[in-house]
Amino acid sequence: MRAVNLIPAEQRSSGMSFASLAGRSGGAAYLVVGVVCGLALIALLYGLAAHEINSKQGESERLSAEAAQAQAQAAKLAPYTRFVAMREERLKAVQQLANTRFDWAHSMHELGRVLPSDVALSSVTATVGSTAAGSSSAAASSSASSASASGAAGAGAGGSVSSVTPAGSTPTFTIAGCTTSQSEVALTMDRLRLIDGVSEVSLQSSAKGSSSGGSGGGSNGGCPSGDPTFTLQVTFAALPQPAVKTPPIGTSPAADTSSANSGSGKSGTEGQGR
Amino acid sequence: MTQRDRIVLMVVGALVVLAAAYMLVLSPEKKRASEMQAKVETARTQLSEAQSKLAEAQQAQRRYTAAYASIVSLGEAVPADREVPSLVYELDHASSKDSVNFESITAGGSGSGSSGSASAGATSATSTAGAAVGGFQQLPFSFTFKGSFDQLYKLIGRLQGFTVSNKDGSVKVSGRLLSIQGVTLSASTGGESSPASHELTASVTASAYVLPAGESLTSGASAAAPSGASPASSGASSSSSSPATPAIVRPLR
Repeated sequence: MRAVNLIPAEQRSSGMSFASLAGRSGGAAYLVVGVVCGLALIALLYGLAAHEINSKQGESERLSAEAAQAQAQAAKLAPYTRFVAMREERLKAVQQLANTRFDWAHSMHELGRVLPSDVALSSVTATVGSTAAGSSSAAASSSASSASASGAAGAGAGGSVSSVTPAGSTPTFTIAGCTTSQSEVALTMDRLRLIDGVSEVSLQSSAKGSSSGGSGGGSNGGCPSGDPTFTLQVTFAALPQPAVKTPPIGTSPAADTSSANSGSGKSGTEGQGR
Repeated sequence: MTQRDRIVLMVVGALVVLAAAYMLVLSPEKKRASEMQAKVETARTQLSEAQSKLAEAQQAQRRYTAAYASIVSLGEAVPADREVPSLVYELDHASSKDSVNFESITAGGSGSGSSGSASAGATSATSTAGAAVGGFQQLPFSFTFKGSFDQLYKLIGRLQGFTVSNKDGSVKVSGRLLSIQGVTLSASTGGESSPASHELTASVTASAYVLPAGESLTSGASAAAPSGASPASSGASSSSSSPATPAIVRPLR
């Protein structure tokens, strides 16, 4: 008897062959399912992206509206900002001008402190910014006026001048007087070097002469005849750059008033020019 | 064509369909989403800038009263107008404190002069102004004082002490800001002064300052609000009056 295989020819192969897996459609059904799943996934991602776009657009519009509102409010308060900025500028300018000044009172106090007791001064001419001053009291007043003129002219030239006593300018004292001997003149020069901030003390002249109208010229404080009259120039270190403190940012009251205490010079002297 | 070839072709076709769907539909949408994200970031930056500006403006509004008082105080040091009479008054007051004789004031520099020239100098000062300095205009003057050395140097310190900048950044204002450029001390030659009196004549050249031409002290602001703004709802109460001297103008915090 001959065995007859009753299994359909397409299903006869034993095991899990590719053809058996593909089925009768040859795998097309799986592909369709796969494509449909892929398209569904793409549709899902599309939906998510569209939702994200919508939400981002809404957020963007909301943020823009808020920014516009804040800008409008800030523009409304702009006069306050400008006023505070103007105040800061003025304060800085005042600070800068105040800080570039030479401490006249202290230097003059020091001058009186260091001078030997037997020195008589006939004139003191002090200027800031000029390189040389007159050597007599007659020239002294003219040098003072020329100093002011040069200061105004310098400022008039504009540009770098930020103060009438700008940083970098050099204060000089020209001192005319008399003392008992030439060695006292030398001592005086040594003592003048002790003044705060002095960079150089130079002798312009020291000569024994008549009591009045000598080399110093003008009034000499009544020096006895035979005593040497001298003219010395004291040069101070150049004025430093002003240190303007930047006002800190924060919140607290700004202006304040205190009881009267007007700024006086440093008090107390140990010796004085005559 | 074998069955295997057919399957391969179908797989390739399916992949092409999926790739086309991705590129034509999903990719543009994703691009739009990223563009929108960038737009949101921009809007967020703009908002934060606007908010910081607003916070700054609100802080300025809160500090306005104090700033107004400061401006008024600084106006004493650097007024809008020349204010020569007040300068003369301050000089006279300071010199009398130190028992110094305030002899003369001359506008525009060059010292020497009698007390008679004082008034003339003071009035002529209205027509003499120097160049602008640090935004301010200079007013050069020459003063003549008579007194002892001790009195004179104290007076000079007092003149510069009208306006002082403190180390903490505050400015103490009790009068005009004066920058002294030169001092000449010489023995007095007047009839009443004797050598024994040690009286000296001090010729001081100095500059006062005024605000630039056309600029007013408060730029039209009132104690309640600056020009062009509605009054502040909080903090801008009274204290509009000129503060008593000396005023300490502190940095705004």
